[in-house]
Amino acid sequence: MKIENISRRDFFRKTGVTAGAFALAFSFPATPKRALAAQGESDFIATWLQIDEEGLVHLWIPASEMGQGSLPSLAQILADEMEADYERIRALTAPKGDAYKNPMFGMQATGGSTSVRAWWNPLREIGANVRMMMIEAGAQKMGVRPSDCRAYNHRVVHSSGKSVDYAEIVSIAAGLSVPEKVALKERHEHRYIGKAMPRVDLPAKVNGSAQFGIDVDLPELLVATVMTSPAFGGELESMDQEAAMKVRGVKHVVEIPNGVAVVATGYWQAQKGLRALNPSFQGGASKGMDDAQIEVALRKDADNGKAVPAHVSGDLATGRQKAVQSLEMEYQVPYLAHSTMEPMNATAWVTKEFAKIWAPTQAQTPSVMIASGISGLPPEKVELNTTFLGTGLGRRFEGDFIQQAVLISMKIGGKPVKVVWSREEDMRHDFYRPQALSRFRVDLDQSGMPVAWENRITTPSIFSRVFPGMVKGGLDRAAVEGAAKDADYELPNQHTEYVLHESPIPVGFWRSVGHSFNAFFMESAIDEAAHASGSDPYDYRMRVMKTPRLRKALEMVAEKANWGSAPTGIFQGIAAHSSFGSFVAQVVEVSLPGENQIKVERVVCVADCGTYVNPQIIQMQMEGGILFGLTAAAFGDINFEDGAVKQGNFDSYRMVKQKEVPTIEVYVMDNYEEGPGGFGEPGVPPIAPALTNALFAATGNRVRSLPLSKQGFELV
Amino acid sequence: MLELKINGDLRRIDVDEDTPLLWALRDELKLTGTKFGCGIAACGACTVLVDGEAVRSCSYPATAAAGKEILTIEGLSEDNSHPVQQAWIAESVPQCGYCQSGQIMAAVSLLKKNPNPTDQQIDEQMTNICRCGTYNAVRRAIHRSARQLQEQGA
Repeated sequence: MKIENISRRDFFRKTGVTAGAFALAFSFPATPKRALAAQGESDFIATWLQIDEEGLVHLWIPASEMGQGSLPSLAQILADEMEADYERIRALTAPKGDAYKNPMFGMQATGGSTSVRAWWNPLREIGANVRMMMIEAGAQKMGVRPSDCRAYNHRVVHSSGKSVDYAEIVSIAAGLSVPEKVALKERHEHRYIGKAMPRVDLPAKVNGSAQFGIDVDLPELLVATVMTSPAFGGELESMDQEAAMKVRGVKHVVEIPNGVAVVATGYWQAQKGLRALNPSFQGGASKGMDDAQIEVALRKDADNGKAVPAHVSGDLATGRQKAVQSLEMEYQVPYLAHSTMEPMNATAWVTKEFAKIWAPTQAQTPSVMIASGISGLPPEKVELNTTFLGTGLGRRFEGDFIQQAVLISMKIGGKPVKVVWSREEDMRHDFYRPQALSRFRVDLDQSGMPVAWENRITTPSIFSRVFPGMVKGGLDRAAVEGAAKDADYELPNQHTEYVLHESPIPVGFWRSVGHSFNAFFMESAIDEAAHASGSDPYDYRMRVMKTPRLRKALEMVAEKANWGSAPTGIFQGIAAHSSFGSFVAQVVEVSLPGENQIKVERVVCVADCGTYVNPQIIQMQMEGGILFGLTAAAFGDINFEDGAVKQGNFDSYRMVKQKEVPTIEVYVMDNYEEGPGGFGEPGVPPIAPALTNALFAATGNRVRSLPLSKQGFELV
Repeated sequence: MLELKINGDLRRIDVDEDTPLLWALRDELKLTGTKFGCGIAACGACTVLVDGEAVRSCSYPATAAAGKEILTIEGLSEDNSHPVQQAWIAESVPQCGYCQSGQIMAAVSLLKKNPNPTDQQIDEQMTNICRCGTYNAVRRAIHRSARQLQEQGA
């Protein structure tokens, strides 16, 4: 990593910085590959931080903000290390730029609960550089030695007590070179890191001024809405273009891959145009398929498909010699939609000279490549601005909506266009959380300990479409995550295998990905083993647990939830799972108010996310993850008819609402021995099994297939 | 021409009769704080007040609002000083923030009718969807607003 003072560089002034401002940029060492990708300097070096003449600090944050708190968390890191006044920082999501490539991915993208993990060290280093440069500039200004000065809250303070504000020394700092070595702050010196500072994005999110993708506006901007084939991969068969063009405000009808777009002066006009257009479709890879056929195909693969080992240790037969009982279990979860609160949208303006894109995206580098590929423009001619995201949930890692916007802009003569999907289009053209089937044979010895663990997971592969190079020998690691070598339990003689189930239904990353189902499978199987051996589910987990940090979280959650001492009529379930570098344990308490009714009264959650930046953001993410997982466990089920998704809106695809929300207590553990863990996703995996384990405690009914609604249970 | 009174200002727009208030606000008047979520009045992201009543503007014709007072998120205050906005900040409610304009407007309407709602009344009245799961924070913020409004009234 290299940090540069670019205050005086020409290209930098072109980016609109005011003369006299201090600015730092950050670049990676030039590798031949990178140098090739970065024809222009501006592509290679991106601004990270500027301090203007008023002393306002402008931060460019290299992660998309979709609610998970990356923007405020990363701003908090920078502000702390540079000793800024928290009130005088302004944080924006960075535009496209090589220097913003996530070091854990090697591309500019947000996902996998990586933002704080990936940027913790680089951003602290940048902040520390600014602090040191300000001290040097301040010392110059006051005519004293830098070693007699320190930085505190936007000021450089001399040991005599005299001080200068950062605003007064910006122009001096602009002429300094970057120090060769800087010392990061010690833990006790942190003033913002580790504290529940108010999110910097709060003010704009209570008055409607936060700009989401759907809010983008440009002069002469047209709005398009689309309809693509209900069966995946089908083609447009017929349409009434004349009728559509008669609708007031409709300007163009444009064919797009697998469908059609109506371009108008506004969304409502475009929707009216689309209704008049009345397109019909033919064919498609999923055409004719319904739930029953999809189920048959999945089971066929689970029975006879090509199984590849995901993790093998010891020998099943040897282990089984010690067994006194054997549990055979089959678990299943359905396809799920993301249903981001903000429907899919993107704005593009593509001419022969440039492409400009504004989008709520989690995937900047892939989006630029898509735009470049369609337009024939080199990547450096593609500008991409990331807006706020009305949730991402993994859905906005995809590029389909970007592709449409770019294509439509080109087809209407290089004019700017905003593509906005209806909720129905959004729900019916998702990249779904894949359905999955997990079969276990678990053998237990006299003391109830597992002596042989056989598990076959059958599910479509996400990576074979998104990053095929990562699927080696038919094994998609994301399909088995949380159940293979990374299982949290001591499982001697483990044989976990994967069957890649080919399906025409598109699948994608859905908050917590493979952990979203493998935690349900594993934590249910372990719960069954506990009951089969006559053990308390908590005690049993403590005996079998392999992961030390998860064990501590489990211990703490049992204590906080008063495990085993629930009041009459309240039943408890427990689950624990590690994912994305964090360790989360949850206890769910349910009651049964009426026949087949289930009320979640309380969820207690303990999270070890290692060193944390903002405990309140982590708390909220755990709580949000719990409710996201609860929605899925209670209601989530995408069904198919004639190859198309049946559900279309929130009336048929239910979300948890206020009245169903339990009391949620989240405890974020203090563990500064470890580096930061992820927090956007790890709250999701334990909730479904903790809930069904509680339901088992309450009813004796073991739910092995989700959602609960399909099993006749109603969440109240 | 349709004349609408929005946040105290008279605005004139030329829209089809069937245009929902949501799209008149967003596309014609560029008041984009009010959000599109479902189009069928199921999620509440588009909630605005019409004569003090919370309505889901995606399913409410703009023409029906003629002659009435429309209040959108942009009209609550100039500086985030409305007690409900203040409570929303104090409780750090927004995560992605997309549904929050609707949540805030629904809460404003609830508190107008019922200055000190119980948890059960909040459950019944707050039917907006939040995909980030900020519901408990919304509940805390409504209670906080109620306390503040009572102090102001006292």
